[in-house]
Amino acid sequence: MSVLAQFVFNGVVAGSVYALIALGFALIFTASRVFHFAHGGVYTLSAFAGYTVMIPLGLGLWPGFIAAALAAAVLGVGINALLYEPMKAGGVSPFVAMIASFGVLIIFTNLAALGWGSNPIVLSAGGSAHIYHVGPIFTTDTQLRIIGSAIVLAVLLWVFFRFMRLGIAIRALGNDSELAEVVGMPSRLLRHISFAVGSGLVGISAMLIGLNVGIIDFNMGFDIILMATVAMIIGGLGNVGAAGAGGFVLGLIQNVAIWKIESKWQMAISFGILVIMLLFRPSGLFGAREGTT
Amino acid sequence: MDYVVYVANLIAIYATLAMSLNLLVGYTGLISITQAGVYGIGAYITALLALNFTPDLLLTTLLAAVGAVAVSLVVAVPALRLRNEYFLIATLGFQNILFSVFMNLGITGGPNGLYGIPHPLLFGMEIRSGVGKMALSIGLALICYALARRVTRSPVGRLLRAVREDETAVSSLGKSVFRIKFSIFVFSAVFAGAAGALYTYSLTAIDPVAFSLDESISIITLVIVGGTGSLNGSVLAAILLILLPEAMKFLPIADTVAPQLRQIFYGLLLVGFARFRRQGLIGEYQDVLK
Amino acid sequence: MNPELRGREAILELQALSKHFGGLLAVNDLSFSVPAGTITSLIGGNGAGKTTVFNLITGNLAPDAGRILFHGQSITGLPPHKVARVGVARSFQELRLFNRLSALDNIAAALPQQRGESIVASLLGGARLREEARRTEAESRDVLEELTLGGQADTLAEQLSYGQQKLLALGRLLAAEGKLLLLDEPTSGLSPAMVDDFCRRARQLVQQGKTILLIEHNVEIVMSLSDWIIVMHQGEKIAEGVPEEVRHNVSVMHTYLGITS
Repeated sequence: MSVLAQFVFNGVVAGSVYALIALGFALIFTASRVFHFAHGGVYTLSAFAGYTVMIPLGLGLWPGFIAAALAAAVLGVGINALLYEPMKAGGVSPFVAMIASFGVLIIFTNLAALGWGSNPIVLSAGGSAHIYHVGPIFTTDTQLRIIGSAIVLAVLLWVFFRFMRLGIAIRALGNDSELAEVVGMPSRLLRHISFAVGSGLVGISAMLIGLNVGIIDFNMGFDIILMATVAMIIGGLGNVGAAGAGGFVLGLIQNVAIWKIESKWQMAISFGILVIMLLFRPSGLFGAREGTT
Repeated sequence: MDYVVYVANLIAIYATLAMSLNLLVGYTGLISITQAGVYGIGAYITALLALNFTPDLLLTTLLAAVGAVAVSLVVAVPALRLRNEYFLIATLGFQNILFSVFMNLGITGGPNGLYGIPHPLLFGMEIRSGVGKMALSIGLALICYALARRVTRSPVGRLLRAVREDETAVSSLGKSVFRIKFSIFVFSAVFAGAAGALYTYSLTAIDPVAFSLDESISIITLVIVGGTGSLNGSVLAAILLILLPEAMKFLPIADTVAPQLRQIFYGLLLVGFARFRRQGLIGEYQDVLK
Repeated sequence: MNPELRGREAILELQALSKHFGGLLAVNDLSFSVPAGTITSLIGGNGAGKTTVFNLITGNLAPDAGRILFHGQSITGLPPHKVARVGVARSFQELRLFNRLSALDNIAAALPQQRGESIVASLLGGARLREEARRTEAESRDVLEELTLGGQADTLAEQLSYGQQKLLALGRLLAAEGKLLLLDEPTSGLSPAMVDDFCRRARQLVQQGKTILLIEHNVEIVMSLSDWIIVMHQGEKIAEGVPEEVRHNVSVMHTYLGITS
């Protein structure tokens, strides 16, 4: 029984990680209707930016986080300004933007390998991690920080989209650009803000996750963006809070499943869930209906 | 010389893959990113048959095609119910599931893959030489080109394009959209599977990485760069996109960074063409991808 | 029902049809029948549910309740391509042409029962298939000629003028060889000369044995063309009759209910 408790807890940790990524990913999807796969590339490069400021430059933990968030925001807004916005203005479908986004993901991933090498790099805040015992569960302070951040961010974003004018406008943007103009902000600016915020979040998340795992590597963004996609589909498209919740569900399923199934099948299980969700509940567990013809 | 033959062989295989995917993406408007997985099924079936039963070329290629079709239908039947982005995401899911199967199943040799695959037998005659294998791949590419051209220029080709333009209108004319999509999925998978068979015989060793999501994206890059809805474009793109990175090998670039540069090159092409030249090199129309 | 129409068989019959979207009742307990060999019009203001009725008939939407009979046989719940095959052809308000296909291909794609539309058959080829392709092309050219689009056969549909696109959509509908034609706003955006041309064609089609169910905003066209008129308001049938009766009723409703058509 205590083993299961540990698996469930690990699921919560993994779920928090997915939720952190899925929140920004879904925020951007909500505003632009683009599956922003390049988000994974932004995640990778911002982790390396944060690492560079923190360790080689020796500026410490907080400047590292700030650098990661800033780098991510600049990259995210840059992709939107140079790629998605012109495509949208030219009447190009989100389909093509999706394919182009994959291109950016590939470019960023390999740039990271060129810049920092293809071997994993140690990312540590120094000192050894505190390990806590809570009943049958082992945990560390970084894990607790990840869970805390995921919950706080999910709640903040929920409040933002629910009650704040800017949030409501961004939510309206995905459905109807003109509606968003009602709040007196051009929809292009609103999308830029969404990319900045969503990407900034992924920069912070990249540092948190890197510190938790203890290493970062150039490929880290590829798998995680795929998992964020699964999380978003599980939760429900176009709903930021739901995507975060979807991340928790995915993390739990993955980790409880390896109690019974070998862990190497984790990826197949995750994508199996994706396919089943698309077929039987394309609106997600927590979303409004849409999807099948 | 061997090297030139090997590159020509690869070009023929990728041209076949790009043409078979273009039938889905460019002609019918079905953006599938499962093509590498389907191709991998053909490759693994061939490798297993050749290792355990017989390397008879025609028999194994046929069974590879049948296997690829079967798997492709498992993907098609549910995925075809979905529209737009959902279809793409579903094919992304299937691609990753297939990769995971190649990677983790005992019979596929896991991450190491399968090696020591015997040379193929054509009517009892062993084909050992690179030239012979190149000829087989070029032969397959030519057959694929000829048949795909025939299909796309016949009434069924017109119907495929009509589906791409407006499914609702097609069904209002009394024609089953599902049947059309289904049959082009089968046709496409036959060639993807056969290309997998020849790939296996050409390398005599396969591993899962050759059938990963990256590979699916590379094949779709060929389709987009060549031009959606253009078979000639797919062939041209296969030639250019394989030759250019190969040519980079002769530049003074360290081996450690060459694979990354190659990937960046593909990524830039994908982004560049999607952003600035959606008709591809010689595509029919600009915005086939709606 | 008018004695003259009463004797005719109903080609289409809607029985207590209902459809709601979320909380909105788009079609409510709607029943009417379309006598064969007539032009029957469906009128009503925006949001009256007319296009929804079309989508229910053609199987693009599934009704929540009620039945749809075509020649006395239920077609309720059939998928759109099967409804089309029994003989219901439709045009769309937003045309839905195959934009990047030539005008000729737009017509050719609509001709029914082509063996060459199967992959296997097209790979096998043969003389019969070549003959079929020749016939398809000849028939498609005839349709284009008849619509005065003969010179535009190789032009992409998206490059035609709006009036030409409307004609092409009509041509595609005719090529599909339905017995019942559902026309959604066929004259909107047309010049007066083209409207007259359309009315002439519609009468001609009925003489050739077709039945037309028409959604039309232009009251004059409705009054001059229709044999029978059904008036809808907020998803319900509020009146039906021959043009004179309905003209009277509509002016009454106009005055008292503020309903415009």
